[in-house]
Amino acid sequence: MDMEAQRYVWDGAIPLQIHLHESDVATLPAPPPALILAPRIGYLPLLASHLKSHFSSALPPRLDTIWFEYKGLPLKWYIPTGVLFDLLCAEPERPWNLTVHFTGYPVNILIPCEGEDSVKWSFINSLKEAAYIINGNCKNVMNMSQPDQVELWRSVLNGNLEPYRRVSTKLKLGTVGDEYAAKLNLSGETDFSGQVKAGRVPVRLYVWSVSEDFEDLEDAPQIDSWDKVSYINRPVEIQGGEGGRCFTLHDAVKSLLPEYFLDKSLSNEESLTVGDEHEQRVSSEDASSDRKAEEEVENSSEHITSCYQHDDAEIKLVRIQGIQPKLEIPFSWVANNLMNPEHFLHICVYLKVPQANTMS
Amino acid sequence: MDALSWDGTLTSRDFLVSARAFAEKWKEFNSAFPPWTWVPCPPKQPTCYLPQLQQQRQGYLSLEKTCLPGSSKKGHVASQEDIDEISLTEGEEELEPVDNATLVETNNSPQVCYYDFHIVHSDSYRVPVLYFRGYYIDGHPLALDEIEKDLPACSAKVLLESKWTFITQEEHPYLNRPWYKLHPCGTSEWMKLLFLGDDSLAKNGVAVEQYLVSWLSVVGQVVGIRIPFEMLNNPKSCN
Amino acid sequence: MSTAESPSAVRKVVVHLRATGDAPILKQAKFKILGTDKFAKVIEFLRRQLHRDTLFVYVNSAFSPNPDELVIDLYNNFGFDGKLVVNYACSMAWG
Repeated sequence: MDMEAQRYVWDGAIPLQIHLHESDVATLPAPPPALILAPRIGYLPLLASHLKSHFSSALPPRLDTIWFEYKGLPLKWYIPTGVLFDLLCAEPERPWNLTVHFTGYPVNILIPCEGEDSVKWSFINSLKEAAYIINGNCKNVMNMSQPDQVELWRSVLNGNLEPYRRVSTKLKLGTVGDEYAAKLNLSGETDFSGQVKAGRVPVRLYVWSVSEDFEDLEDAPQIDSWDKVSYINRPVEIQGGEGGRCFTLHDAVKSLLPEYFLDKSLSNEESLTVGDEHEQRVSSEDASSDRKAEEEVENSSEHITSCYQHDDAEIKLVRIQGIQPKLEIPFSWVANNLMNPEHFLHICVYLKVPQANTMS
Repeated sequence: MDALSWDGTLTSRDFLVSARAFAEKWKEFNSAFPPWTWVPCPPKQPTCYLPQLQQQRQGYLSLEKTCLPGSSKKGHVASQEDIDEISLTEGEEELEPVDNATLVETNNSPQVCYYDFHIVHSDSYRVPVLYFRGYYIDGHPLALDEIEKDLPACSAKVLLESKWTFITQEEHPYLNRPWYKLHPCGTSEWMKLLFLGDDSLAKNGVAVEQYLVSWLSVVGQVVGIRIPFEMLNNPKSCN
Repeated sequence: MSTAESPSAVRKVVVHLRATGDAPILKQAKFKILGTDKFAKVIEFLRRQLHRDTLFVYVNSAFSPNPDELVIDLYNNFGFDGKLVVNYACSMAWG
């Protein structure tokens, strides 16, 4: 497998400019912001010790759990920093200006965080989930030796790819579409006739829906509530040997968001009816009356918009590890090379949806 | 489904089938207890403008505002509860007081706590997952150490030993808020055992309708929800 | 457990402990237990015999009894051929 992309992912970092929230400033003048290069694959609470010492002179004596906020939105600590950046900064902001709090943890919005232990176990539980998706059980992760577990976590903490590879190969989580990759390397050119291995790929999809249209990403509205982000935690099923056709990133996104890619076969398949008076229904009239003429939107990712127009919603952008890959590339390559260390591929999708149907 | 080659999992479509069958049975044999209801994908989610048919499959089973202590005390198998007490007094050795002597107090004291239970299908594990939360009558949430007091003794023990792999707070898949979640990675394994151990099921195939009843017979033990025998497929007698 | 003394009025139930999966088989698999005992006692007994903290214990009808259930009730509902078959496995329930 091509290691370059994985190295790129591991070395990826985001320049952060972190401001101490004014309510936590105990002594004036307010301290200058902290500048940190935060690893993409890392998690925000892991910056705690650095920030505590940076702001030590200004902090009040009693500190609560550390938490971060971007323009009023509390940041979920269990989402990798790079994914947060890709999702919340439509137009990348460098440095990324975040606010840190040491008091007033928003318990109703964020899962409690007990420091590094919480982050580590969130990571390991995700790894278990990924292993289950891939192998149908998580025995290899559960039975990992204590030293291996420590080394694996240390490697993620410090961004050391080599020890990570050493331990993670023992977990036998494999790669997807090996046959295809081999074929690609041998011939040296794109050859889609390779047999694609069937399998399940762990994916976390974050869908941000906006009702306002925007031409440029920098005009995109801010995400001010997590309710505006649909989080879809569903593996992508790769069907094997599909007539030699390559399973692309487009196919993967399509399988995760079937509602935006309604086609005949799908609507037939969905004709399962289950009668129940209590079911709350979305009126189909509502949806159709609001259909507007499709607008051709030109932006940097026109290859996406051109083929993924839908009557109701339109995909503006697909972003993974800070890049906007062409949707035609093989999904196995994306999965193998752009996944995070817990073996999940995090995909951010920006969707434009019709106004009338947007929920507040 | 052929029981021998079955891997203990459930598709999201079968989950819906099983959920409806379960809710019906629960209503029929457990009428003293609040009903489980199917909650379709909540309107808060932006995905909710998705077509009607799709939306029906998205959702979860919900049992809300229930008193956890009451569940084992005054519920379903009421006629058997008296005998229960007797056997408790003659309990010997290191038998743990799994029962509700302490829990009943919470029920009668002014500090009434409510619990919400949601059963959500996990696409990763392809099994149902229990999410729950506890709160005081004024809506103030219960912390895990407070919830622990309401759980059966054996759960409290596991909680102590496996802090990070038994019950942890996680984001509710539909509500996007922190809820307690019972870890699902062993579920398919023991579901398989349960169904394979049953001769009639092994012969006639796995009954999807029965899945959630069997599932809750295990998961319910963690939080103190009991399943009346009558809900099972083939008990010899229905007393 | 097999030696439990009881007044003759109290009914005893024969419990057949059956290993499944990779669980070790007990030398003696059949025991008598008081019907008024809770199922918890059976679980506890198995734990001690097998030196395992995590056990998965279940009966016929794809059902894992609550430890608070009475053995006699389980026998009446799931007993067969004069005994209650209790399956046990060493699989991890959570994790």
